[in-house]
Amino acid sequence: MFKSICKISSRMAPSACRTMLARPVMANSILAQRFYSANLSQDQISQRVIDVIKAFDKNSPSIANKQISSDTQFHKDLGLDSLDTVELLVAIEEEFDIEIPDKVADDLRSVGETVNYIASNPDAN
Amino acid sequence: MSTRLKALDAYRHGLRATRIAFQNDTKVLLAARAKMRSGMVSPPNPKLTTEEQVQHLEDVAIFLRRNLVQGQKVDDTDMKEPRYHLNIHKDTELGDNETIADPTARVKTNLKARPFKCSDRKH
Repeated sequence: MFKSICKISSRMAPSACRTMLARPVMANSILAQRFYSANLSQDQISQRVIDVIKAFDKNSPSIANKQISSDTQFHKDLGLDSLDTVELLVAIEEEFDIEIPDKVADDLRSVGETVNYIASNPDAN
Repeated sequence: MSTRLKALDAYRHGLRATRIAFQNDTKVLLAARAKMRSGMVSPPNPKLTTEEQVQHLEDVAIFLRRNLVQGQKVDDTDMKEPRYHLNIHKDTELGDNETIADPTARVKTNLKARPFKCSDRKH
């Protein structure tokens, strides 16, 4: 039974490859985009990250009213220490239902970097 | 990897573990996180080396994930005895009944075989 499936798939494969190659460039870019981000736009992610930051209780009132952009840095601009940053990133993980790997999380210092990482994570929702 | 990064990673693991263990218990969740934070600022056992303290937090995180199950009382007046809904999740360590039934395994927990007894404590 499995053999027959294998045969069919091997027969199918070359033609599938050909159609893939024949596809216009447009389709390829759409495909690439779908892999890049599951269902969230960069703007959506950015807005939700900013909402989490605003709700973060370690923020002093002056920071809560501050304009947050993708260039905003957790330590430099928001005045968060290293423990606060870990807490904030865990709060963001919970918002998007993901786990940021330690190596990545250690290097995230700004809102923009965080948004880019979430956009690249297909599990984010 | 520096100790500083290891400590921050351990803190992250600890925070995540509190979410898993205390998912629907906001009060305890916040208390656990506050406690973890104060532990980061002033270590509960200053005699330990920094590495040991970091390891301790990692162990706490694993314990919270695997060995802590919260129960919530189920509201049902029809029942004669109170019932609890246990939050057993995918990380909960489910012991193998075989090891409990194994007589050789039981010898190890025999009182006589224990290296320390309560009466051995000095204070």
